[in-house]
Amino acid sequence: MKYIKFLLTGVLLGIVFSKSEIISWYRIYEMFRFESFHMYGIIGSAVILGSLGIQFIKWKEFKSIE
Amino acid sequence: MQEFIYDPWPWYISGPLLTLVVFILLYSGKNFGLSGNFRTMCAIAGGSKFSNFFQFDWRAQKWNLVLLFGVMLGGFISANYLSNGEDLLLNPSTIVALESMGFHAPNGAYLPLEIFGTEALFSSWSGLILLFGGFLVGFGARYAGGCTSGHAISGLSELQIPSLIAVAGFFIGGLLMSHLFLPIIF
Repeated sequence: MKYIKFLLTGVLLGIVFSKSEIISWYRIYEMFRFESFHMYGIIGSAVILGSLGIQFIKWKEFKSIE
Repeated sequence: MQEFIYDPWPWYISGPLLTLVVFILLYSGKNFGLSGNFRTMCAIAGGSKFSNFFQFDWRAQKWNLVLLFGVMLGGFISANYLSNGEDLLLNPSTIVALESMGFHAPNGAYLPLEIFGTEALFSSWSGLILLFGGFLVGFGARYAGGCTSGHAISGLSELQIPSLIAVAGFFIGGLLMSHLFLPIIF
């Protein structure tokens, strides 16, 4: 049962991969030809939000130690 | 609402959802990265008899196999129940470039049949390319310690310099393949 949250997270991830066409060979080819912003937008927004979130967690941990 | 579910999702929906997945996993004490499963599967198959690389506690990685199975299930759900089956809206100049290599426009597919179709699989030339490509994916992901999910999404979010180098490598490789090798091979 402790694995159910990983299964559900995986299902969410699979739906995101498929619905936003990240796994499409054609989208990846288009990205390497610099003919669409789509993939750059996905990776860029995921990384910017992710790094902001991680910095926020570190800052909160730092505060709690103080 | 219904249109939102069935139409392809824009980048500003998917990117934040990927971040959400990274944080769900971080909250559980796990790092997002799918290709680590290659190592786990090799260890389960008895790889430790051949290399120390596979002598690790793979049972601690079972969560990642479950995640991977969920990804496949999610892909199935998406393709069968959440899709309108419409064609990808590719940039017209991408389609021109594809046609110059003898590739058809996607026609609702995610992969070109010219490379991944059953017919291509059993023709010796394409079959060998697929086999060699699979080897490179497996070797490279382990040699670099991660793939696009682990290095580009998790690693860059954690501001890891090795991940930045790996992602630069992925990108150079992709550019070389798209612009130089693909037109030669096909």
